[in-house]
Amino acid sequence: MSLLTPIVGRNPRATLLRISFTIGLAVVVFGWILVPLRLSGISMLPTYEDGALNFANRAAYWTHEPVRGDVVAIRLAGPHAFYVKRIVGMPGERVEIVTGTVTVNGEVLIEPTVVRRAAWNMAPVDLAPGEFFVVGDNRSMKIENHDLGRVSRRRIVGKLLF
Amino acid sequence: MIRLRRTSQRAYAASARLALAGVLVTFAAACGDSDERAIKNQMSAIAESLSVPENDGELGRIARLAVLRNVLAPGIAVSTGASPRPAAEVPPELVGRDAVLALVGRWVPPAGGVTIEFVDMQVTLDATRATAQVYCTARISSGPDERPVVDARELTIGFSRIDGSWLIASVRPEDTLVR
Repeated sequence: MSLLTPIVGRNPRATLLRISFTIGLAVVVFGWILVPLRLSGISMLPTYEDGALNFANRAAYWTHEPVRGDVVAIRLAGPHAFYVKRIVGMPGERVEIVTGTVTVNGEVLIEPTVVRRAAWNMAPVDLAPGEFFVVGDNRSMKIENHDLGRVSRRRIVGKLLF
Repeated sequence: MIRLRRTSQRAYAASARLALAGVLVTFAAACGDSDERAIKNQMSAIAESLSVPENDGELGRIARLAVLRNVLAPGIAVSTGASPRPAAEVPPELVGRDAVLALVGRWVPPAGGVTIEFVDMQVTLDATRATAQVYCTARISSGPDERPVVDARELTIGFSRIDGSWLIASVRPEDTLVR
């Protein structure tokens, strides 16, 4: 028995293959399927705390399109920065905010995840095909200080895993 | 036996040439286009000159402004894009190097300093290689500890080659979310 046996096992070739497979799997999973991200900022409070770790699950939208209520990662110029927001408006709908209440096609949207709500007002926005309306859960600040609005489908990277 | 050794030598020589070619190709790819590299270096200089360390003094501020002056074109046009209209339709709100420097000079950074970095840079040079566009994300972090990211914005930064140097001619924010 060689000194290296405890490290490489009795069959070094098989060990090397196992290591290569594990590395390859990690690259595929964390490179293309589950994109790791650390949340920064307060716009998704109280659902997500500042600094929380999460993953954008690209596979979530392989079989179906995003739906209302999904918390999604939105790509900026590349893979090193994302916005994390909740979808409130679907393609073809009309979204409006009246004194802090979101309405979709004239009907009030029930949002149990929104705890803090300032009296925001936003004129009606008509969403084109392939456009979603996204907003954070924390609505306690002035609307000018919150990033919300229409986003095209191609920018939505994936759904947050948990 | 001798024949086998010669064959091995040839195989080794071919492998060595192949490895050398691989190294050269990798090196060339890493170095990339010299103009692109120069522009990325300018971007790093800009990020450094806009970042403010904790307890920054007057001397540091002046030094950073001097660096910034060297990377801005005299006729630079900056849009803030703080408008519900698409950024492309918004006329530039700041025109001229002195106006930009005056604004940066007046800016009071948050306590604990601020760090600005440009990530995901995509450089596009025009056919004449006299102008270029950089599409990137500006990440802004603040705070003394882990420096969490407080904001991130997409930008298109236009560069012009003036007297052999790549200088910033325009800055325009891109709308990630459109109201």
